[in-house]
Amino acid sequence: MDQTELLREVVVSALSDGRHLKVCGQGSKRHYLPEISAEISAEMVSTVEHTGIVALEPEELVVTVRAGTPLKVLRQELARGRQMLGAEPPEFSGLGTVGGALGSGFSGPGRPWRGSLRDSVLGIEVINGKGERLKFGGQVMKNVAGYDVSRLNVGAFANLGLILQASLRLVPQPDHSRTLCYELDGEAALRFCRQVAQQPYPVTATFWHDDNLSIRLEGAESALDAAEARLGGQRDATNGLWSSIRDQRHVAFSAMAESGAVRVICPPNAPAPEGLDWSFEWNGGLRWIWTNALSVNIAEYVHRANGWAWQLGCEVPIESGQKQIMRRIKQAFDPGDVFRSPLNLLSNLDGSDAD
Amino acid sequence: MTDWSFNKNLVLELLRGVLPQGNLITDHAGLRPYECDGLTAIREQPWLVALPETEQQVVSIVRICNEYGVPIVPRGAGTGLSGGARPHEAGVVLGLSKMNHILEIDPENSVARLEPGVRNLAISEAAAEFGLYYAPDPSSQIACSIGGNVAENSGGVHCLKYGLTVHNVLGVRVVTSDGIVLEIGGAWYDAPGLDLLAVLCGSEGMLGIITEITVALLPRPDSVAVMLAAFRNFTDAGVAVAEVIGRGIIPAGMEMMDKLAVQAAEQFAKAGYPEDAAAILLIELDGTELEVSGLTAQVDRIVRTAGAYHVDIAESAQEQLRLWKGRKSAFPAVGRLAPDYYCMDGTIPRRELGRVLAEIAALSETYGLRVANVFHAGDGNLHPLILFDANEAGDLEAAEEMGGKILELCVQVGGTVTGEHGVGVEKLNQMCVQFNPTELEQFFALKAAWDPNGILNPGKGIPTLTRCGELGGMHVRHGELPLPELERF
Ligand SMILES: Cc1cc2nc3c(=O)[nH]c(=O)nc-3n(C[C@H](O)[C@H](O)[C@H](O)COP(=O)(O)OP(=O)(O)OC[C@H]3O[C@@H](n4cnc5c(N)ncnc54)[C@H](O)[C@@H]3O)c2cc1C
Repeated sequence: MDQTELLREVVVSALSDGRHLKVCGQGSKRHYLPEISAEISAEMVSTVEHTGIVALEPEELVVTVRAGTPLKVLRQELARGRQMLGAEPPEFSGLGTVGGALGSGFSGPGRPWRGSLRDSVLGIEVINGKGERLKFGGQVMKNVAGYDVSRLNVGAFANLGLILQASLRLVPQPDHSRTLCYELDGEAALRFCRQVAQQPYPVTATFWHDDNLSIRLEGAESALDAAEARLGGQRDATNGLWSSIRDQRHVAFSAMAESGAVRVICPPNAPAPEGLDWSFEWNGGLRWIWTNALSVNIAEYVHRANGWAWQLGCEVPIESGQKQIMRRIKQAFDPGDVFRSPLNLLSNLDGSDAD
Repeated sequence: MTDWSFNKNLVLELLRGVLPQGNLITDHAGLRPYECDGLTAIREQPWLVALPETEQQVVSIVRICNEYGVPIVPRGAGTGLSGGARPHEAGVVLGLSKMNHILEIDPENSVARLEPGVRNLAISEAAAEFGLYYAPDPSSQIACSIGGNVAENSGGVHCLKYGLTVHNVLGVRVVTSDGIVLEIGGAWYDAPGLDLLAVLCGSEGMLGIITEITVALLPRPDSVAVMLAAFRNFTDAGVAVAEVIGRGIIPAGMEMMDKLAVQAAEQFAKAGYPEDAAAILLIELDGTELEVSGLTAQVDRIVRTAGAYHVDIAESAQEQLRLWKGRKSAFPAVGRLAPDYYCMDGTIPRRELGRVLAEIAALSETYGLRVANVFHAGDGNLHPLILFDANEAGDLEAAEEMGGKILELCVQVGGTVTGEHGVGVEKLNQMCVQFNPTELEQFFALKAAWDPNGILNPGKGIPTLTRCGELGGMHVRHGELPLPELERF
């Protein structure tokens, strides 16, 4: 259902009354994010009613979809034409919406091979903090007219505006998919992934947990056979391994619910952390450390690994020089600070918290 | 209008203090090569050219210019086709050609760290010893710089499958207008906070100076096949493209050329193109050996069913190079058909191809100017090349006007005025057609967030509202005529 006018009125009236808004879909990623500080009250504005596929053009490899549409519904619809999004944003038991996925920008276990969610965004329609409805990008594959505001909004946690709808690039579903498993400790698994990455194997995801490495191969059957003949390993017969990683239902993630997690991004060849409970995706470029605190020990490890770490549920770490620019960008889109977001880029702060 | 008056002697003195002798060009003859980029019809002499060798020098130059209000026009190799690197008469051209070192090829993480002046092709050459390459390959790749590629978000014939520059860059170091160095992303995918990297890609030197780039490298595919299919009419070729993609095949490249482009390329490059064809398709398929032979057979059937009367499959690397050579030299080849040509760069939904080409043919008729069409068919990016003679009175203006009409047509059918060459100074008017005043204002606000004093590449990329206003209501936006209530005759 098209709720554009309604949503716009909510923003316009919040702006004129000096109220603040917090944009959400179903709230499926709430556990990831810090609470918005309680002293500032922000009303929820939800896009869940703003649903529907506006246009699906399989031969143009593009879909235009409203923000409230559940990802699962979109995925099922695309599958009818044997297509899909390249990225695999978490669906979180069917709750995740397209708008929530775009706002948070997570891309799933295939990210280094299939691209990020932001990569597939061709165009976007947003309501900025002034209540203006704006369109950027478009429905075509290549478009460099104007600044890339579409992709800037992906992963912005609704700091800049409320995403109404987006046009996304589609890819064909692979003909075949196969998962190979190996019993390897962390360091050996990282090494194996590095070797595999040097060759043009049809790998589209990797995951390591509890001394088990899983590698997903996708493509033509002949290509999978050829890869399997060279890579060996055990075929994984269980169904749904990759969607359980995507949605963080896999047993590895149970540690997250119990004790929390630190999400580390670093070059894949960084050494394995010692004496920590951890798992990895993306050939080791994304590492989950299962712990409830970003200890000095972990911080030092991340520094040595030339990466960055984010303790889920806490503030996202942003370097101060970049934060200044981000604040000014926030101000450019939302001069009245209507949108309160867990990214905490409040534009009217004087920047005194620069670290 | 911004006032660009500043104390030239003082600024010159300061710049001399930060750059080695010889890296500051001020004499008329020395400035000449910097008068224009690849859009040679538009020229301007800059006040001076500064050629830094280090990031620290870039920082110093930017700080001086920001303090005294001196416009800066960043420049890579100057191959841009929209006048993005066209100098500012009162300003500094900041040429990055001396910062051309490959800082690191890291095969373990499959990344390369580069200075901005590194040539696109040099990256793949340096990575070759590890069996790796850098995927985006603009036709200008022997000359254009990686910094320019990032600033334009350039594509290439392989971007249908492997993506544009934005999809292959992991991080950049950028000097902001106030002379601060930001390190955005870099070591690996995805940086925290707003996606500054995404907005820098394609920012045409208007948001910051890119001083270092980290790109992803890919392993070379095991096997490649290149296929040429010739058609008696354009529509059939268009059907073939839709069919290939409709069957779930994403070729590594899929290019289309029309009769005039084919003839020009054949005479220039002797690539073995059938000169009687109304259109040809070049299709590259890659993967494992078995996969490629399976795909080749499948695509062969598809194109023949769609009406191809001649199919040439190149198996050896040498044969493949021959087939690609025709396409890669299409621009210079067309350049021999007339004293001048004007290269357009619209993108359209592919289903509109037939209609758009018919209208281009009609425009060609009306203006009396020939057009050769080269088309990144897989992703809908159309390059009509308008032939003209700048020495003929009125020819250039006619070519520009006709080009503008083509771009407006692209917008009208749901496309965009630029797929990969950027707006620069060339497509400012057409931007008024694609964006409304509120959207343009939002662009300006974003620009001001990065560059409050407006010193970086002023006057490019985004048209002022005044400019759009002066162009008047003659433009069509989203297929709607302005003032629809008025009767038209
Ligand atoms: C024959 C020919 C074929 C071409 N084929 C293609 C093609 O297939 N695909 C395609 O996409 N393009 C193509 N182009 C266009 C052009 O080559 C690209 O736009 C290229 O990326 C420009 O790179 P450059 O180094 O020459 O940049 P320049 O022309 O020097 O600059 C381009 C823009 O980038 C800015 N800039 C340059 N360096 C920096 C920096 N370090 N920091 C910030 N801003 C910077 C400049 O200010 C300017 O706005 C072609 C051009 C020619 C002449």
